[in-house]
Amino acid sequence: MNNISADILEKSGQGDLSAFEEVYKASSGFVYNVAVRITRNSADAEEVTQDVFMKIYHNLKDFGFRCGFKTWVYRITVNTAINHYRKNKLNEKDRVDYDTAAVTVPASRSTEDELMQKDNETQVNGLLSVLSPKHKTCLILREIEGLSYEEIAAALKIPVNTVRSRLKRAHAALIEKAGERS
Amino acid sequence: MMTNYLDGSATEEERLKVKEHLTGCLSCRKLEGQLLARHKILQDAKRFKVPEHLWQDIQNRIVSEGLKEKPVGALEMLKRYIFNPRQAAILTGALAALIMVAFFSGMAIQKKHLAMEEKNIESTVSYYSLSSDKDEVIYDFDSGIEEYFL
Repeated sequence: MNNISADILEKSGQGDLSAFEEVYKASSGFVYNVAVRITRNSADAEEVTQDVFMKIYHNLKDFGFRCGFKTWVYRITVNTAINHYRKNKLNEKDRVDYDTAAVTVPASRSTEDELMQKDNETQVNGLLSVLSPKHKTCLILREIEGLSYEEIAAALKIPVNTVRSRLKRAHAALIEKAGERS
Repeated sequence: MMTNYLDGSATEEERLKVKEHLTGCLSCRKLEGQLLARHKILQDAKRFKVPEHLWQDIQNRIVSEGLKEKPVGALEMLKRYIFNPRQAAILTGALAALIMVAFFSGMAIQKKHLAMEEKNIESTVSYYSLSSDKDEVIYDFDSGIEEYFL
């Protein structure tokens, strides 16, 4: 996620749509990708992204820089995506998983690359599907989004050691699942 | 420690410790291979491109929500003012101050009034004088009029 100047944030808080577009451009990639990974569905991810930016737009004036803007966005994104996922869990059978979202991959790749990417995507999907939302969230933020332990702890409002233990359990669960398959 | 080792957050000391252990432990080497494979899969996970229509959708929502907000009447404005916690606190404070001022000024006025009444009573009170020789009650109005009649 790119850095956003305090001036842009202040203008966005006052309802300036062109300033808010800058906020969107800097953070929509993170929001959408985390949403796709957690909800496992591109339509849900779009809905989550819209909800996240509406929350940001409405609450930016009261944000007050009590924490970092990025941390605030991480937290809103994770909470909105997990809540959406839980709400829709009952309709799991209707889901169209990652394949739908994969349509948005840039078309410049060669077919071999595409196949490899699709294969990798199936594996990522398979790995994440065995985890509980809280373990999955930690793994996504650390391994895919590259956040530090401290950033994850701040975003999820949990101690750094809890982040470590969740990641450890997530890896253990993945190994255990692989053992069951083989 | 293995998690830290794999994602590069282990200290140099931890890293050497794990490496040393791995050279002599076959099962841990196998585990390392499994974890590294998963680590790579996740690291290579593709980035999804944000659909282009999303920003337009968000803009439309912001505009339509703005339009939905009805023009605010005086009563609604008062309601908003009162139900706003900060405004409510200011209003309560002002009300409390007003009550205090009214109470103390009321007390001061009452005190002044009592003092005046006391003074008036003193000036208008009738005195009975029972010291008459003929045993008649003489009303002393504390004025010169009785002298005129008597």
